[in-house]
Amino acid sequence: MADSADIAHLLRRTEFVVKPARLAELIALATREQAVDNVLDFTANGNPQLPANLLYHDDNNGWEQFVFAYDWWIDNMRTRPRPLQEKMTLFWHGHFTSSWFDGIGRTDHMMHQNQLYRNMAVGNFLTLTQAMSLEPAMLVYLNNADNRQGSPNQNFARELMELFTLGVGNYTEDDVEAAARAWTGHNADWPAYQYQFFLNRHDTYTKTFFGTTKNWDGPDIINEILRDNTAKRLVAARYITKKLWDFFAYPGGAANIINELADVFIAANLEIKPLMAALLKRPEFYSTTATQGLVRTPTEWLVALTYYTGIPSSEFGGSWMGDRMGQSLYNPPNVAGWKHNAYWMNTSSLSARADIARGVTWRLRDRNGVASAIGGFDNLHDLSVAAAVDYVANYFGLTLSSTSRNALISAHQAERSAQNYESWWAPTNLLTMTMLAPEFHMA
Amino acid sequence: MLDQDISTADALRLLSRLDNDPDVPGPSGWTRRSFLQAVGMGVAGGALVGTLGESLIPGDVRDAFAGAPIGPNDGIVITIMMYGGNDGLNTVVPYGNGLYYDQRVNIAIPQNQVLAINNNIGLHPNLPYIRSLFGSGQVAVVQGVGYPDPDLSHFTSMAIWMNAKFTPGPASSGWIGRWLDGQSAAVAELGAACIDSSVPLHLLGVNRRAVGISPWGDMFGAETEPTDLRMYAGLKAMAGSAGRGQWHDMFASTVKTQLDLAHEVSPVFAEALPDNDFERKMTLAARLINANVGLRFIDVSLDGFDTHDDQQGTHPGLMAELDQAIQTFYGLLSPAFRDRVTIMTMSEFGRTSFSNTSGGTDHGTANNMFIIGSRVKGGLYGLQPSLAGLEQWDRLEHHVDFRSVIGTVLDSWMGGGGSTILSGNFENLGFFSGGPGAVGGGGGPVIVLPPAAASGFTAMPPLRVFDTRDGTGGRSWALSQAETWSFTLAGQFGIPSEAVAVAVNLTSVDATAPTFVTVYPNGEARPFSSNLNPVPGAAIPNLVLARVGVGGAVNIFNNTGSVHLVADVVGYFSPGSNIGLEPLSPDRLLDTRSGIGGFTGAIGPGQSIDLQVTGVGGVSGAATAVALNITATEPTAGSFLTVWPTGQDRPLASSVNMVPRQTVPNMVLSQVGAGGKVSIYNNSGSTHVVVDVLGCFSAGAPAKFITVSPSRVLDTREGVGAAQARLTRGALQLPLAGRLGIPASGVTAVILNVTVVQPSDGTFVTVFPSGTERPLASNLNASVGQVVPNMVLARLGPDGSAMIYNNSGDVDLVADVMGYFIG
Repeated sequence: MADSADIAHLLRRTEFVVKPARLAELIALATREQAVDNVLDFTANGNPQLPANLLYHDDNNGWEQFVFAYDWWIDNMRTRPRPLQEKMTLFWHGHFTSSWFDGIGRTDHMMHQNQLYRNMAVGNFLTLTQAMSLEPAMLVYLNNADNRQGSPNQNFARELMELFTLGVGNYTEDDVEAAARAWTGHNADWPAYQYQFFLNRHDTYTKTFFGTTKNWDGPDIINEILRDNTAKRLVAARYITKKLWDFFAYPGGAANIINELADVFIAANLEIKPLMAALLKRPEFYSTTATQGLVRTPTEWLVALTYYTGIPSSEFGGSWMGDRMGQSLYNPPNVAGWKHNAYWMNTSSLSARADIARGVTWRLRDRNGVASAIGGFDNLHDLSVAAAVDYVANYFGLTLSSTSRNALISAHQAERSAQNYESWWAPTNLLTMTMLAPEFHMA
Repeated sequence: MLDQDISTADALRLLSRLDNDPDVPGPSGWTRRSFLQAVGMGVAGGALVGTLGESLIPGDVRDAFAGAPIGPNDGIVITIMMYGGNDGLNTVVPYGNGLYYDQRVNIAIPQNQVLAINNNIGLHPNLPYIRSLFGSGQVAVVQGVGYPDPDLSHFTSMAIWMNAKFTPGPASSGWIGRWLDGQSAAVAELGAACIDSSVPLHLLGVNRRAVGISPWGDMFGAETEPTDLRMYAGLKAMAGSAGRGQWHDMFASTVKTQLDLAHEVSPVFAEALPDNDFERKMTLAARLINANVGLRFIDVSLDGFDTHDDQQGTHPGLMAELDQAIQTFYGLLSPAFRDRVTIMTMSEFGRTSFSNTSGGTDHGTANNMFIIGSRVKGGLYGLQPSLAGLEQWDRLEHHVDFRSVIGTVLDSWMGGGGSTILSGNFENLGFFSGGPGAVGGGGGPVIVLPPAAASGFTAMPPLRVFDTRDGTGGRSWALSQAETWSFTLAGQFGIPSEAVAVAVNLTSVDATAPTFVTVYPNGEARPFSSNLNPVPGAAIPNLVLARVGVGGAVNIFNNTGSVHLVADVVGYFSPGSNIGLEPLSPDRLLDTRSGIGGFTGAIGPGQSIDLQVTGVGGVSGAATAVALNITATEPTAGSFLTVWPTGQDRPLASSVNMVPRQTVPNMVLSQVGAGGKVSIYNNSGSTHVVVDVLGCFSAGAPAKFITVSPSRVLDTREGVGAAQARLTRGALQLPLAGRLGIPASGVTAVILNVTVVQPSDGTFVTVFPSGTERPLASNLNASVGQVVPNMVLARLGPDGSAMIYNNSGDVDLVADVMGYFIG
């Protein structure tokens, strides 16, 4: 039997929420290592496809198409049998960024890229990077779409090294210029805006990249970084490993953890699945530092909220609220993607979380949600104050700290005392407050 | 495409050097450990106490949250972050430099579009407002700003700007945050805010950080119902140390801060906000300052400057957004804070001088900054970087360290501390003319509206738009001493929003003391001019051609005592109208004393006459409106005259107000009514009336009106425009062409408000073109000791001057220019 606390932690991090059936299924396995293999086995997801209406550019209903894509992804994260595939997709979206608002403006391109990240969620990093570089969304977003000989555009070449593979300090400005020239001609045709190589726009002269002078071509640059130049490959492996560790475990993992996991990554020829398996099996992943180490991103919180309430994102404008909370899917704030933890917590973005909690409360009331097990929303009154607090916390899958529980009990008591017994403010405010308890916002 | 919360990006940069010792300083002196601390990346325990301030220290939770009003001499800074790397060369354009045009063939701003500052440098064509501020000496353009060993990564370079401190040591903070650290708790509590959904590095201190204020609307926590208050109390009670880790505690304490903050700032969301993101942020900034909740720094951002391609498709729009939002800001800012606000713009770097074939530019280095404010000593600072010898991707040399700019702002505007905050001494650039607040009085005008378009006149039957005695127009109390009242004219009362000036007959009633009233564009500083000189016991009217300002409104200032005001609109000037002025030599159309005009004998109580005004005195038959000088003389009772287009119902409006036995002239603009006539009504008693025509308006007449902000062109008391001496019987010459914005040639007539000050004898004053015979008509009549203004349509002689004649005794004369007709 695997330890239930460990499995609950694993599920929160890899599957957004701890679904009781999944918890039972994984606890039944002999070890948590087997549980890790289970969450990484996407066979149960089948071969997830995009809905047909996200495969083309709907020129007349661009915004509606975007909103549909938003809500579709939130729903997909909630409902997939193995949600880790979607969480990895979210990770790659925040890593190999492109933005609908900032340049792309087409849902089909964003979704084509999104589907690549889904299909290759735990595939080979070199293959993924090569494929990513030729995606229409990336070509447009980082300007390789019109990077031409004679006046190359540095945008993609720079970010490929600075943000996508190596990090600052591991290349020179000369390397950026050489790489920019190497990518000339790797453009998009028009008006279809699909990848196309134009030899007459490509710089075929020699360039010196990482000290080697030859006629470099764009894809050669990626091969050099991730395959042929073993020193750079090590830097890249550690860079990606570090970012994955920060995303799934906690920020700032010790150097030995990162280095050892990066060695696994390299030994596996940059296959991501073995790296993720090793990462999720590290004992440090189950440490207190890890279990208390992350804040739910706005997206993760939306997924949890929709799961526990049964109210889909489309009903409370998830696409709009995500933006207000600081995370608009398909629209990372810049090419570096989203930051985490403290980044989500400021007076402005938490105001948006509070507005959502309020809105979801009204919808729960309308549907008489929450209280089905006790025969009606207002029957929360039939429970003692403490039992009502515990009932609502349990409804949202929360184990409250004593600080939060005491705060909720005394506020709920005050509301019951101030209003008459049947007043609906007491259960209403209890729901809102519970949705804003810090426990609900920790990953 | 730049970061809103740069902190982790910095850490990322250092974390990318995985083999580094955590405490070995990285580039520019940062240590990896300090960045880990900045973002809470794994350095356990107490190390986190620094950056994350109030919310990360277990149990350290705010109990009271109420910003104290700022002191009268406290400065306020608005930082405008232009994320993505603004193209400085297309913002402050070296249009006199041929290399500029060689190096950016596909995106250069044509010379004839640049808003020139001098023969070499000008502003982007979409920065007219900033250019107008520059023209009034309120913009310092600091050129060639940068730092040594420039970094071309958005994230690293922005972090360097935000941090503004290069020496080793805790560098997990930003310059505004460290300023907060140095303030008392009371000042720091609500001392800085970022109007955005995250709080970036420059606003994080070692011990404190700025609050984030949502740009979207009212914040959760602003309700005041008891049930809401109980819920807020419940949420706040979750703040504290729960034993669930740092993020848990930070979340709970941030919720608490958010609730306190929402309560504090909720009034600024009460009114609607503009749709444009950046304009909305600047609107909130102005309201937050006006609310005076203690804010000293307000950070706003405009995104999208990473113009690698199609720069001409995006950059001009960003420039326009910047310009418009700053204009909006000043239009909303309370005059009480005008001399306390400085705006500064920043970007992580400039862009390459050479454009690329995508019609864009790549990451560059040195850039320029705008420092804007009424206490800024406007002008050019630093040095435009040389473009000579550059090749593709070569970057511009910087001449001014950006820490000099920040240090100057900190030391000369924010009370000092620059060398501590920046860990070094940097040259003070001296771009402030004075400190914030009331010291030295006045301050320059904050807003100078861009030049108005030449406009035609559309006459209306007189319409009473306000009467402070009875609440017409929404106000039913007198203007008090030193009060400025804003009243919106354009966009209502049938006046289109594009109207640039409105013709109003303004009448003062029930003044409690001799005073003066000034009408000027909303948003501008009050000029030294007057439109009306009310005295107790008399109703005094004057025609005002009021230039409208921000929001289509005018400001009306009363100097002394209290006074009621009544306004009747008679028309407006708008660029869309083709109705121009045909100025005429003044000709008498009516004199009831002698029978000119076909009416002999005083007009009795309640009587009116219909006076032919077209086809006489040179007035064209096609005229739609006339400019008349109407004089009531020998009135037997306190009364008023109303002038309106014949055939329409007589409006509730007055054109001339009389007291018994006094001669009172007033200029009137009137729509022409049926049969080419205007009607003149006398309310009570009987009075003689004299009418002189000054000009007429008709479709296609070429002379269009250009309104200017009122400015004093003559004051014999002060030696302005003429010798400092009272004028005896005779005429003085007043040169007008080429002065105070009046063009040197082509001007048909100038609109002046002329005031006779305390004549030694009963007299009249006549204004006429130089080089011509003085006509018999009078423009003003005044008794001994009176102060009497009247609007005058002054035609200019061949030398560009008008003559002003005093008939008797000696007088002081004052004239304010209100606009001119040209074409």
